[in-house]
Amino acid sequence: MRAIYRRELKSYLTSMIGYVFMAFILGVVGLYFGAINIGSAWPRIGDTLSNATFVFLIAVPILTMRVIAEERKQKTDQLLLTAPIKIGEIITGKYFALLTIFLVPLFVISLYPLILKKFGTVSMGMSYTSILGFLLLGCAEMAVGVFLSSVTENQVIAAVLSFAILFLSYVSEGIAGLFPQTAKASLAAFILLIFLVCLWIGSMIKNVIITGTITLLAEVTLIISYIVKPSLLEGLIQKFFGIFNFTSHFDNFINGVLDINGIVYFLSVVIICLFLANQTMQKRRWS
Amino acid sequence: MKFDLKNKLSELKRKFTFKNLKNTFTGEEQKKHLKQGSYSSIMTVIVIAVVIVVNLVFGQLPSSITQIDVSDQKLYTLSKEGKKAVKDLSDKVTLYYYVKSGSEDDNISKLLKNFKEASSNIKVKTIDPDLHPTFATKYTSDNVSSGSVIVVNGNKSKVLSQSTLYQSEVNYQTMSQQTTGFDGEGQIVSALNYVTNDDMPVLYTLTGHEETELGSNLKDSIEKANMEIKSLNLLTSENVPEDTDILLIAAPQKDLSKEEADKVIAYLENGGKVFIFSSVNENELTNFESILRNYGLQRDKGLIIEGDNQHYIPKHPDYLIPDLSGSSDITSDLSGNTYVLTPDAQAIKKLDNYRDTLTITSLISTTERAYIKNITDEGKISAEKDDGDETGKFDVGVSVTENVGDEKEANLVYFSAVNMLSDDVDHMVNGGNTSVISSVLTSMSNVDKSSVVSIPSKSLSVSNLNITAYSASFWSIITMGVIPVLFLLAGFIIWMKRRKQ
Repeated sequence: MRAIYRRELKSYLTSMIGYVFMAFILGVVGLYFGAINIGSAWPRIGDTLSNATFVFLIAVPILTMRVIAEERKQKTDQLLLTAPIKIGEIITGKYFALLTIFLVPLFVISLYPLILKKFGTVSMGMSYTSILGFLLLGCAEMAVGVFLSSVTENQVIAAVLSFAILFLSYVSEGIAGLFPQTAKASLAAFILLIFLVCLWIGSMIKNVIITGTITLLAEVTLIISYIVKPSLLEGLIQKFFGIFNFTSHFDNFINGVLDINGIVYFLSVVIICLFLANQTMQKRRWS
Repeated sequence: MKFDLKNKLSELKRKFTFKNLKNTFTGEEQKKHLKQGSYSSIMTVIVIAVVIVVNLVFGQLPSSITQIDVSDQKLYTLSKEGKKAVKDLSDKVTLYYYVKSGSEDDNISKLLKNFKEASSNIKVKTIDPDLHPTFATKYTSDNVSSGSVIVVNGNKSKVLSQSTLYQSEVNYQTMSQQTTGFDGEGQIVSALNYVTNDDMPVLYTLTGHEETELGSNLKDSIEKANMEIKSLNLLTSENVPEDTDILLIAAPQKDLSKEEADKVIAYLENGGKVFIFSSVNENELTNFESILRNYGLQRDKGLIIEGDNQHYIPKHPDYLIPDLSGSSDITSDLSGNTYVLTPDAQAIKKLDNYRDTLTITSLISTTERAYIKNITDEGKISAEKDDGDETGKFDVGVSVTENVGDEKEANLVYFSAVNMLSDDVDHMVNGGNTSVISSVLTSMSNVDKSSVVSIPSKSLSVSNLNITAYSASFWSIITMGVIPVLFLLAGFIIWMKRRKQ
């Protein structure tokens, strides 16, 4: 894992891409910092950071698109797959290299509250909680990028996919609002969702009978629960979209809540995404 | 090519023969897929399920552990007083958050969660008005807006709309409403008090003599203290009603009739509590003054002008900022930074001789340098001090108590500036007038003082930084320009170096 980490980090630091990423994050955050915190004399850095979260939408796909996709394109992944290390270690090594690159601008940003402190009372607890939230949000989004980079061997597709998924998570609250709250709407949405999940299972095991049985079982359970207790499904689709809503968890940190649930949530996103990346790479080994 | 249904069907049939189906389990390629694929999908499902369970378990932990409030204002964390009030709760109370899904207010949701966790007697439920449109009609005939909190205990309930939970003020520079404070905790604790207590003190306001209306600030504060406000017409009623806890007489412009004044005095002699305001007035108010006279008080006709410029609003020496007495229970509780503003006050004087059963205590008084100006026949006064003007320390608020036997005590509190009730005046001293008047009302009502919990609203305003123009531009250039450019430059140099190699 160390060797992978060192190799990756070196590749970022010897090419433009790592520096452009850092400069881009610092540039956007600096722009908002200058306008909100310095221009309007506002003591809370959280509002700057929550305005600047859109940098991830652009910076993360560009940074992560090549992580695994390029190995596949160059066929160097064959080397890695046959090397005497686990795939999990390859992915965590690559991910930690990305994190290291991200920590550099974050370190610079964490000096900003100290600048503000010179000019009045600034709540340090609130400031650094906001910065922690920004860090966690970035970590989660980079993990999403790593996973999507493993799905395809085309870097551009990986970048576009990451952007689309991250964008969907930004607007997930709005999408959830489009659906009515009723049990019927949830039923319809979940019938579709079960089909999609089963389609994925089908593509994995390539077996019509087993896939069909699973699909049938899941759909019947859903419909029975709708008939027996429709209130169970009320607003469920909104809750489902809530799972993908990074922003709502991030907002807690901005509002001065050191939210343990939020930390667990973001770490879960990282774990699931890295695990899925691991699984897609494994799949290449056996199929 | 024509779509041949028959051919297609036979093709499908061939596909689904027993042999083919069997093949899906025994074929080499299929076997591998089945084995690896199901292992992989099952692992994925297990990992996702475990992660979801871990998240759910953390979600079930009380938010006092998982949500550490590091903010300055602690908007939704319960205060000590609030926690105590909730702990003392003996009835099962339900808090309904009546709100459209998706438009929940973060502060209110978190506050409600904290209430739920503070006591096992409190239940919190969210009701969506779109799904249950008739829900609120059980509790009130008024239109309940989305975002309200309904506090219910059995058949007693109180509806708190979002505009009561948030305080707002009009910004006169932009003429727009600005939210200035969050009063969620105070309002909900007050509502809990209201729904769990059977008898609420009743405040009657006397009507029929062009009395002054209560300002909305004061009204809200009285309602927050769970006092019921009713109006009383003494002409038509036999006497002051029995359920009266306090009778408020807010500066009648016309005189009371002899019978009315007698009814008030009779009420007082039976251990009643009367709160009186007066104003500068041309009419003779003989019967009104007979009530005061009966309790050893007399008001001076002139207007008090303050001579000490630390004790009036700049350029308005008749807008007095008098001192609160530290010796009375009513005013000593108010901290040193509560200011009272009494515009156009008149001096309250003791009669030369009154019954020795009366105890007269001064509550608010001017400084030694105040003087009284008499109103001329044209109704004008000049603020300049003349030689003949009476100078000294004058009372503008007094309390009179008298023991009337049977462990009952009559209490009359008299403030001589009715403008204290107005919202505008109250705003000028940041609600100081309302605090003093509420303090008088709570001390008069027979409610046990310790059971009345009053939690002040929490301010939402943040004090801005103090940055000079020079340092502002300096730091802006550093953060917006210098730092990002440095990183870009570093990258460029390294890239160039590698290219040359």
